[in-house]
Amino acid sequence: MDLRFRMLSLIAVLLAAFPLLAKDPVLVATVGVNYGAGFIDKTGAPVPGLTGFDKALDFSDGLGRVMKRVKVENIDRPVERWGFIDRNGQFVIPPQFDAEGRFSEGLAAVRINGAWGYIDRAGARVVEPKYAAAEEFSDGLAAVKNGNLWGFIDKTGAEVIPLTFDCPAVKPPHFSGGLARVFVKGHAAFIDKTGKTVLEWPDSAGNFHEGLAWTIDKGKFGYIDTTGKLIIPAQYTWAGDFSEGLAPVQQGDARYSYIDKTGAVVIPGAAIQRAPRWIYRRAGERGGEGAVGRHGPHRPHDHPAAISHAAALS
Amino acid sequence: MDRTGRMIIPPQYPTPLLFHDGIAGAQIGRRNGLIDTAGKMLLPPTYRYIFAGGAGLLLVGYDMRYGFQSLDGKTVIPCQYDVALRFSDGLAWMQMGKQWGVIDTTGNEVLPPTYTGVTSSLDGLATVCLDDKYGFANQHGKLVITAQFESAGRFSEGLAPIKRDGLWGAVDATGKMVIEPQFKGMMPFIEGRANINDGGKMGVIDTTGKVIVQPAYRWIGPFHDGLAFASTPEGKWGVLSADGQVLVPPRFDGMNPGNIQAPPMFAEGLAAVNDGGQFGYLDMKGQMAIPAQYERAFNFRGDLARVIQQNGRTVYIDKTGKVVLQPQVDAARDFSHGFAAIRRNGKWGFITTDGTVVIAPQFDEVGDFFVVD
Repeated sequence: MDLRFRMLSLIAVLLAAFPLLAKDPVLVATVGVNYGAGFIDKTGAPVPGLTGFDKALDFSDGLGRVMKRVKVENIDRPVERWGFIDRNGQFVIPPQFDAEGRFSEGLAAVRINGAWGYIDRAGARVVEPKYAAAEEFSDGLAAVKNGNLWGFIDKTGAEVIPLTFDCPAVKPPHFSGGLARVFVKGHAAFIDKTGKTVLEWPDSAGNFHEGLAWTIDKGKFGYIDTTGKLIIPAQYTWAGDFSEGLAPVQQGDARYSYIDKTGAVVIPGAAIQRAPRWIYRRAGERGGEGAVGRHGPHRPHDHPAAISHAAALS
Repeated sequence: MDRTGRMIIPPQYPTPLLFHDGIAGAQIGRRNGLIDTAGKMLLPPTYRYIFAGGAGLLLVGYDMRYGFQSLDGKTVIPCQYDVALRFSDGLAWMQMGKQWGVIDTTGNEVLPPTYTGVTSSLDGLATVCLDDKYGFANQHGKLVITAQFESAGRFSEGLAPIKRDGLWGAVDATGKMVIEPQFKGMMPFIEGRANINDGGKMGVIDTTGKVIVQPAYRWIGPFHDGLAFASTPEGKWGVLSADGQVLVPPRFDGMNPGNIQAPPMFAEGLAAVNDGGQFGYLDMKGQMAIPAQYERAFNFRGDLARVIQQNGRTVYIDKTGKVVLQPQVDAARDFSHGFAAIRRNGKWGFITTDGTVVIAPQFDEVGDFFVVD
């Protein structure tokens, strides 16, 4: 190679390495667009057409939960009304509900005048609003509550498992793999679709998700399978539900990690927070903020879905 | 983050994102993008904040996360710092948690987070706080003047105010005490003058520590071309010269009612002043160059100044007071680099100094034009 060519190559490499040296000052201005609430893609960019709402939650079964403040007769201020949009941002079910759940198996729970019922994808009322709480359908059944007691309805609204079971409001029952977790005399029990108890656990437990449910044994969290066998030994100070093969757990040192179904740590706390020591400390204090946002959930029961889905970006 | 633990979307939302079908609902709010002078979108609306970042880069971020991005849209350093300052000579201060460190333009930590406080300066020396003591570090973050002071101000013109045993003096860049601590309060030097504070009264010293203006004022603005505005305890503003003489006896009202620390300032040889409830312009000889006649007046930017007439109309005047531009707008801002932001029907665009609308009103908000170099 002749020397001149090598010099030119060197200059080219240097220019490539320090491109800024070759640039002139640029005159620019910031321009702001107010998107309100809406949907972002996995790069964090607003999705065209899916912005301009007052609140936006999530899509499921192709329909998105959004809230608009609308004028209502006899009320001066605009009121919050929830409806469902399609992927083009068009309202398929106009904003009209006080609150709404996700579409699942073709139905969604909606709250009208303080009571929960169910609608179908056309917006038609399938189950009249009469419940104090109503959960998503899974395995063909949905948990509903009146008073402090939970039972299950089918998609015709028939109460196929009478409202007789105890459950804290933050831990509603939910069928997965043919079992739902309820509470009997203060401890967890798993019922089948006839309402019969098939498995009991002496302490608290979660619903099954992807075949595993968290359980508490002597104050530590572990996971059982649907036969009641302890698959991941009780060792965590907190544990959440499995989603896409991973579950968030809190180790003794207050860090949140993700484990797989063998109990192996897939995303260690260090990787989640990914920053110097001070972050671990604060993340621990505030509940994994590095993973879910600076003001992320503080209480463990806020965690399960939240973290596992935040983590599930891929 | 993704399944490998890699951060995909920096923390920026108060609630967790729930992704389904590849998208998640979020309170997106206002996002800022970047345009050039032709109105071409260089960066789509993405970030909450965009500033000139030094080193030809943009400093971008959300409320508590900042990083750097190139003008051609590439992420140079992801938004991962609680605070970042702009690059100077290829190095920038950044804050993670409660501590400050130094990075280079590739994001390498030249100095890991170390100091609990940093005030950067144009002099290349930053005021840093370590274990509740203040000292000074160079651009690489290396301490060049030991952290030994109770407090310290920003370096400027080769000097920095420092506090020792409850009193303020000044050190030079070698750490030598140039002005022995003797004042109850002190601000950084500008044009060879620094404001001092004695029992709530402000005065002025020179770089030897000699008192030029006895502490008698409620506030004194920075010197500019040898002149500074100073206000009496009653809140009236006059003009002082650098040798301490009163050029204009106190008579002007404040620029912002209720804010004594917003003094009038000279710019382009004229200062907008509030003369008895109406605004006009004072020249550097102490004469009213443009008589007080406006509802509000703002400093000259180049040859033009924005004023609000008594009828509420925003117009631009030249230095003789002649109205040279009367844009048909709902609101308008000062010119910056030859462009002024204007609002029509709730949307913002830009005009040039001849009044031409060069970027049509279409944005919910705009910032002023600035240079990225």
